[in-house]
Amino acid sequence: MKRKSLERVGWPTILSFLLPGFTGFLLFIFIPMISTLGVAFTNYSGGPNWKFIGLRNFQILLTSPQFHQSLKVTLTFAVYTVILQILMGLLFAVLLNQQLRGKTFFRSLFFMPNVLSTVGVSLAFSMICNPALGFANQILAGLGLPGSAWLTSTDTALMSIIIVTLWMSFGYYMIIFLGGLQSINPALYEAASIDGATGFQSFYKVTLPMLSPTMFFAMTISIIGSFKVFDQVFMMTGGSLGGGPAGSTNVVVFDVYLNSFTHYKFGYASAESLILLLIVLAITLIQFRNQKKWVTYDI
Amino acid sequence: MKKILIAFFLFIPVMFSFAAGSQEKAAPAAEGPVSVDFYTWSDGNDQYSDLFNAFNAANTDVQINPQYIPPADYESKLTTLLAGGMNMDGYMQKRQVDMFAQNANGYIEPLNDLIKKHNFDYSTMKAWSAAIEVDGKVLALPHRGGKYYTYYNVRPFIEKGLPTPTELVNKGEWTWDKFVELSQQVSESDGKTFGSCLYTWGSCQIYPAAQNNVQYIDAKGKVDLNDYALKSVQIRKILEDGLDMPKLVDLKVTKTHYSQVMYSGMAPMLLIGEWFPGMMADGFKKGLVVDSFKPEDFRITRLPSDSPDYYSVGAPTFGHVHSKSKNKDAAFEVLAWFAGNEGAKVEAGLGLLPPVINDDVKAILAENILDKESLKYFTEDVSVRPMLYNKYGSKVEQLVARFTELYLMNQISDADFLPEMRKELQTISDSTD
Repeated sequence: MKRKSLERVGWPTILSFLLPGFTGFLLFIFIPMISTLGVAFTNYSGGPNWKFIGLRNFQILLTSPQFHQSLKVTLTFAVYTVILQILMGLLFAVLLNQQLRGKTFFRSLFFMPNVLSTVGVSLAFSMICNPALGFANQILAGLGLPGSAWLTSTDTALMSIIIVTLWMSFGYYMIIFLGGLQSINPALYEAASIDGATGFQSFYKVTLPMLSPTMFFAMTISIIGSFKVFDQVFMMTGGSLGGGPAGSTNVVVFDVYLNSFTHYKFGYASAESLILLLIVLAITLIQFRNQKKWVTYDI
Repeated sequence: MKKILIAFFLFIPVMFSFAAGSQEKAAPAAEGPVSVDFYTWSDGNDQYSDLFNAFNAANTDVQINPQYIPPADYESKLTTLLAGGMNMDGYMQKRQVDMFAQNANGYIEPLNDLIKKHNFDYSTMKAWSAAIEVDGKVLALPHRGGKYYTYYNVRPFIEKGLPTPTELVNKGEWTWDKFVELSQQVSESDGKTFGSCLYTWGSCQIYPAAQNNVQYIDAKGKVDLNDYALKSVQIRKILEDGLDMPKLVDLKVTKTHYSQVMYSGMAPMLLIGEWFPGMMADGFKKGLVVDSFKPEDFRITRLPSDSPDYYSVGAPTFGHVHSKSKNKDAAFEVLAWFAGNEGAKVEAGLGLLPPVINDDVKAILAENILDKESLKYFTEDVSVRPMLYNKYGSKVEQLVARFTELYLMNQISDADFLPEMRKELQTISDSTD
């Protein structure tokens, strides 16, 4: 009977339900996406007087030392962030999956930075990392260690941003891994134990394979997120003043911002965005293709 | 039928988006003063809001409907508003070189006809014509003059028995080398109390180059560099290395505003623009300045200069009439009032350097600038060279900032500085339409 009543629902009704969501998608995702694609082939500078310039933006980008540097910075940020986010998330998930007192408190505590505003956290860490008056160097001095230049040196600025990003985000991955850990069938551990497996062997032979779908998801999200990093860089390294020392923190999205709103090169900035999209897309596709080799879904 | 229905529903959102952009019908004329939507950067309680309030108090036919945007977001929000077709009658330009892109996109109404129609005395603006005219079109009227100065607290110089910058100017000895020497002498060299400060903006690193008319890229796209481009950053490096100037990256990352440098006594000497006396007056009034620095200790003089023919640098701050405005005459009246004698008195009272200087203005400025010699130098009629002032300006300024930081961090040598910069300037020139 139910099936029959559903079949009687006409297209107007179905479409009217779809319309609100579809309108938002169309206006705020699809149209801007298509616009970016189109604008990348123009010299659009924020007004009506623009022209189609073919691949010129891409040609300039491929030879631009600034774009090359921003790509390098982005890749460095992504490599460190993804590896450390996954490792730390996994480590804390495994620790807090044990029968410990106060584990709920610690889970909440580690997840909490993830719900804080990036702007607020970045401002707070800007102060903490102040080389002269900041809390970080005061702690180091208290331990008898030399202070760091943190955000004011080309050697440490990007690493400082990576540390803050990790502090903010590893709790999220911890929660994802906790979910994954708790969905592993305890019988597998029981069987491993009966077979005489050590703790490490159980982790290596049971936990990691069983966690591989979660790991795959976490890595995909982490890679996409790390390529899109902007807020921390903008807030912690004097965004409107051009970013970290000598361009050492200028990731691609930050370069897109500068080219759009400081130089009015919206066409060029769109081309940068497209290249970034292609890179992220390529990495994600490679991941999906390779997942068959290491992701286990069948138990 | 099904296909038609689907197409119809898909089309609705598109219709909405176009409809939103087409609601441009003028409101019916109402009785009373013409209200003009005027955009500026302000928190609603500063010099700009005071200026707008003063206009509204002094005028009955036209009233400003102020549209304040927080200063840090002004440029990006203004860009978005203009591109989005926002109804606005006029706006202030915070980053002057943005005028070139806005003009290329037709957002700025040329004022030539309005100047004639309203009998505005444009001869008073001739000093600023290089900054406000493009290809014979007057694109803006200034409400602030544009010059950079040496500001200092005289007390540390007296206490250390050193000549003051003003004394050196009077003797014709206030050169860039002397600036370095005096900064070193007045500095405590302890990394806390420095001798002088140049702010973090790219333009602040190139005063000597700009005085010597180095354009980096000229208006025709030709790279224009000489040794002064290197000397400009060498000055900063010598002083930073000797702990006689706060480090650029420290100021940038710790977001230390240049006013704080003087307010806190971090350095007794600051080279910055003509708006600074107003900031100092405000700091003294609000008790933000250290106790040892009194209003009577505040001094103003010329920038250092290696040439006997003195040039200051900078560009005036100005406003535009929006080309899509339906109240162009009223918007022009606002700009003309700011640029004229009445506006000048208000601006002087707010501690700003008005675009026109006369005895009335000087008398008002004297209320904030207590030292007579400082007032003389603040209001003297000298030639001003705009810095990085063409369509390449914002890109070149960012490049200058990056190269300065590379140089300060020993990542580029003296020998490589100019050739490398020349290469990147050429890229900017070649890739800018």
